[in-house]
Amino acid sequence: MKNTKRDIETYKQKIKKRGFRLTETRMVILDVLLKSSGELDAEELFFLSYKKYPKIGLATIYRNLGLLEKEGLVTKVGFDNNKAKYRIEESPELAVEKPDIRPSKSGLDKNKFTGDAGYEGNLEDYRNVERINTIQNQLSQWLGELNKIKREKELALEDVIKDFGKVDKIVSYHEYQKSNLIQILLDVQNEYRWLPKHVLLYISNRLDIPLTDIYGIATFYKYFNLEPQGKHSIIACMGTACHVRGAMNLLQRITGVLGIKPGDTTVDYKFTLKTVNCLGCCALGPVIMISNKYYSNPSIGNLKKILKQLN
Amino acid sequence: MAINNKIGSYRGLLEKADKLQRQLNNADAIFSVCCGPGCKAYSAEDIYTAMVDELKKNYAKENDKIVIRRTGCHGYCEKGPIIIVYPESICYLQVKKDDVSEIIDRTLKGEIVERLLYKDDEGNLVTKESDIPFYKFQNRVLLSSNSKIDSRNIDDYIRIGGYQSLAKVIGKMRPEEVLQEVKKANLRGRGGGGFPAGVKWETTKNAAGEPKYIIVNADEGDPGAYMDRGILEGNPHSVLEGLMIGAYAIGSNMGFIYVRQEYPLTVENVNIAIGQAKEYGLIGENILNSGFNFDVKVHKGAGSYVSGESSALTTAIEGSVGEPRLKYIHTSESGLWGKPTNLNNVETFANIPLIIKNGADWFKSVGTKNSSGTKIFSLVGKVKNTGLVEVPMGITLRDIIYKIGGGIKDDKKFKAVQTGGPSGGVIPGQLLDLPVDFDELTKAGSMMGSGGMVIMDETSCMVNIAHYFLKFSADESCGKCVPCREGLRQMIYIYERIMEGKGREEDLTLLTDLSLLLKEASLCALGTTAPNIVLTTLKYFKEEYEAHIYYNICPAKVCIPLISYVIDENKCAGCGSCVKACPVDAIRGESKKPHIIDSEICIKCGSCIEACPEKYSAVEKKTGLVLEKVKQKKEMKGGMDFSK
Amino acid sequence: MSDKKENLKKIKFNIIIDGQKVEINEGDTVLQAAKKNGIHIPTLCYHEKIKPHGACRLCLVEIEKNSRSKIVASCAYPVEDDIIVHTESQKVEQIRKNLVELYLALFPFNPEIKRLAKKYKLSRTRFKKENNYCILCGLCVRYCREVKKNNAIGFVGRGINKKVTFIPDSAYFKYCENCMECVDICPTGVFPSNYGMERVPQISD
Repeated sequence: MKNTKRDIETYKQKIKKRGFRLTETRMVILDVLLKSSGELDAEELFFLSYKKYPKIGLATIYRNLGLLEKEGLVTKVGFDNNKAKYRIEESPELAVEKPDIRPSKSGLDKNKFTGDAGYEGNLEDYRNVERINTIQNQLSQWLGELNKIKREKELALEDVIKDFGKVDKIVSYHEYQKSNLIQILLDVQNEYRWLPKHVLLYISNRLDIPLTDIYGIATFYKYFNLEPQGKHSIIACMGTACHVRGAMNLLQRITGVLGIKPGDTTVDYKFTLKTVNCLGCCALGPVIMISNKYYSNPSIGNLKKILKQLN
Repeated sequence: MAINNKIGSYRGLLEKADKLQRQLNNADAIFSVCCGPGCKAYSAEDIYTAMVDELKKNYAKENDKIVIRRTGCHGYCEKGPIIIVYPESICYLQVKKDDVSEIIDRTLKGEIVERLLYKDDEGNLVTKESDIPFYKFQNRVLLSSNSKIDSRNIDDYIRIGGYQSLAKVIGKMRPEEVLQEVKKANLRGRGGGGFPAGVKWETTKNAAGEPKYIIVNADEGDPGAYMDRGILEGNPHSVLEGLMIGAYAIGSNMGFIYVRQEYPLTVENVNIAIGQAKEYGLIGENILNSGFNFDVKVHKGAGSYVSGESSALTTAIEGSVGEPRLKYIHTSESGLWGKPTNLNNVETFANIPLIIKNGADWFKSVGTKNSSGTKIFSLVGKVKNTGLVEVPMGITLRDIIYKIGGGIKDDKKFKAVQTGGPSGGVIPGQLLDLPVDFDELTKAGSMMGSGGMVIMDETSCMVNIAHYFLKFSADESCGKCVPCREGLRQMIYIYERIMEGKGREEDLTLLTDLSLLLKEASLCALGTTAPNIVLTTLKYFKEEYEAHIYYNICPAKVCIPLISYVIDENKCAGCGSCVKACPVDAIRGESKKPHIIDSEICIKCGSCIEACPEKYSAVEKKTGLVLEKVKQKKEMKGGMDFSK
Repeated sequence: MSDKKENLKKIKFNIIIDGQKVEINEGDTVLQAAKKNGIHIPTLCYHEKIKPHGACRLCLVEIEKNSRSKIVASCAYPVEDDIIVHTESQKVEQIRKNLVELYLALFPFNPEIKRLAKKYKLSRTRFKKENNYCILCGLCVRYCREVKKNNAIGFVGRGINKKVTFIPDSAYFKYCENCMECVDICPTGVFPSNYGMERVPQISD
């Protein structure tokens, strides 16, 4: 029900006490919601605000809606055609406890805005097993991140300087030429089995190449790893010949045994699982290469045996 | 080691070749051990080491009369490891390390180890390599050299006549003459484009700008194709020679070889070859005292399929991200660093020395009117004899698959052959008599591509195959232009819906519309050829799509959401082997009583089928049962419409 | 050398665009030629100050030369003598219509896309909607690289996973606070608020 006495001023005062900053975008959203007397989704909000405040982008609205919801100033009310609708919260004095989800620090946040919204409405399609798997994956991911931070912090200053010496040798072998950047990165990757951040900064300084270009190349080519790898590489061939001979089943078996997805490393940093497009030995298909040895279609028992031997 | 090993003239080359051949003629036995990629995976290196050790241990006196060489790929990868004994060409297949001492011992006595020979279906033994059916129907112009030379010794290449074409070209021919000869031979690019090499060379030669560059494209990104690896790893000098002849013809003095990083052995072999050629003065300044200079550099790729496209490759060599450029300026006129650049495939270059040696007419005598010469295909998939095959253009697909390939593995039914890798399409059974040639394959909707040929039988689902190739193209696409990136993304969504049983009637039109958009509006050849697989599977296998969409059935029993694994209770003996094999504990049952698979937990990995003993064979895949579950769910939830 | 330059300036080509005879300089692209003569070709990733990219593919036109026709990107195709350009032939319209339908699933709020959608009577899209509104036109990246020469933004990844991002440790990043011109140049208006950059102030703040 619309309460004509409510206006943006009342809100401002109630929120001021909480120390929550009311920026122009947030004011606009609250204003429009107040005046609309109903429930709006983000796109409708965008349209209504666009005429008066054309500088506010749609994604800004999404972000701020999320923040306002966290603060308890607006409430999400159900779904209509897979779009969440929002309503202004009548009593904003009550601060609602919501969990703190920090964005990732590297700026390369893979999960933001990649179209996950499609799933929100179809919860009944989820099976129990998938939910359990997701939670398990999340747990192992968090554990992995913790381990990673530990490793990065353990890098002492002497090691860093030693690394610079090694890298300088590689760069001078390639005659300090900018056009040899990919070859230089390949040599660094072969030396360390990944591309440490401080090495990339050094190369950027030494060869006067912008760091954005180096990151562009390091993420474009699949061979480069920007994260430390496990001790043993497990590479599953996904070529056409292997695919036709059942490579997908083999991949499922190895993911089941290791517990990680392709591209990830096990929590104890022992194994890294990768897929590659063709290993060139199609007669053995489906092929999996474990620590530089080829195996043709191993069963789960064989896989477990091989992995145990490598420990 | 002599201080100056340089060969100073054409005559010097001929003399050296002669001397080496005479030396070899004195040998008692020559063993060629195949160490190509397929045989290597079967531990061929161990066999080679075992032979060398055996020689040192027991035959130290005859050491220089016995030659053991490690060669590149012989082609018959299905029956590896392979050893060929010269000069009789006795071919031993599926050799094991323990056979080594017997082979050496009996060969020196003049005997044959019969159990290692090829045995045909009637039990007849075949001794000579060229009589084995797999090789008999091929025309191994390029690949036959692989078994005769050590891939890391330039002397072997010189012995069989190597570098003589180069000597002839730089000593006796003018660049225009070389161009004319290559044009006359109608050598079409073997990398997929099929563009006449001679015409490309001429454009680069006539373009303005110095210096000119020449590049070998060894970025063989097609999954399942390893022909270029077979040539470059087994006979790198043939490619180097072709490269230099090309450089002379267009007026270039600097060459690059772009090898994909996933082939470390190939990179090693090429580097060794370049080093040895430099030592003999065959690369460098004033080659063979002719005044022609040439230098070559190896550039490694880093894991990108799209970088194999010619404009992307030049960008990658320049050190930037390997994205294709806009095509309105050809690389022949403005390529590497803005200079005229000529780019050709490994196989194209490997043909050049032979064309110069034997003449354009010889080359044209094999093949069809518009496609001359031979082509190497990697015959893989569900075929009995997988490996590298070299056939004349114009041979039918049926001959390749049945005469050379030996037919379908496990004698199943043929369904389709996929040519051209991710840029090609499928060809069904009714077109098996199509002659293999650039234009015929393109007319059928597919293309020859670089030579990958994947055979599929009834256990391959065409919807799944199309999805596989689309995912490959989407992953490898550079992502620059909207039609390719977003079009592939949307197509993959549609396929995933179809494979889950949620296909809609309009999906087929949507797919066709998107495919046509990609074909017309994409920036580079990856985008324009990626929909070929969709269009060909829609054209020839429409019933499969319809089964997926309208009936939620996967006829080939591949698409995971549409199949379920079921234990036949009449066959199951309750032995429990499957319970142990199952990674998610989906099977339950009492001992000696028929077991049941819980389809809610089953992840469809297939371990149970493999674990079930053959005498029972109780686990089978069924499709269509899911429809029952869908109906039940519909009734429970009060009629939510899933599929339409 | 200067003679050659003078000669270049004097070379003019005669071409026909949409039935209209025009005279243009050598070295111009088809798009520039059309603009100079008041013919509108829709674009998204084109900007006068930076080199053409050819990523949005909206500017595709059909060119007839020597009785053969082909589809090219007008923002990058250099004019040649005696060509006939069709900016709205049947083939081009078909391509554009399908392209706009794809764009509607990506970012339907851009004025050019909205205008074209109205023209082709497309009220809805058959494709699955993406919530990532960046169309990867690369205007921000190229502008920063070529005009501001700062290289603070770049592409990462490839194919479907391609994105535009800041590299926080980039040495040039410190100039961003005073510049922010990439925000205005973005055709979808959602950059850079996608990137949760705490250090870069928002316009709306």
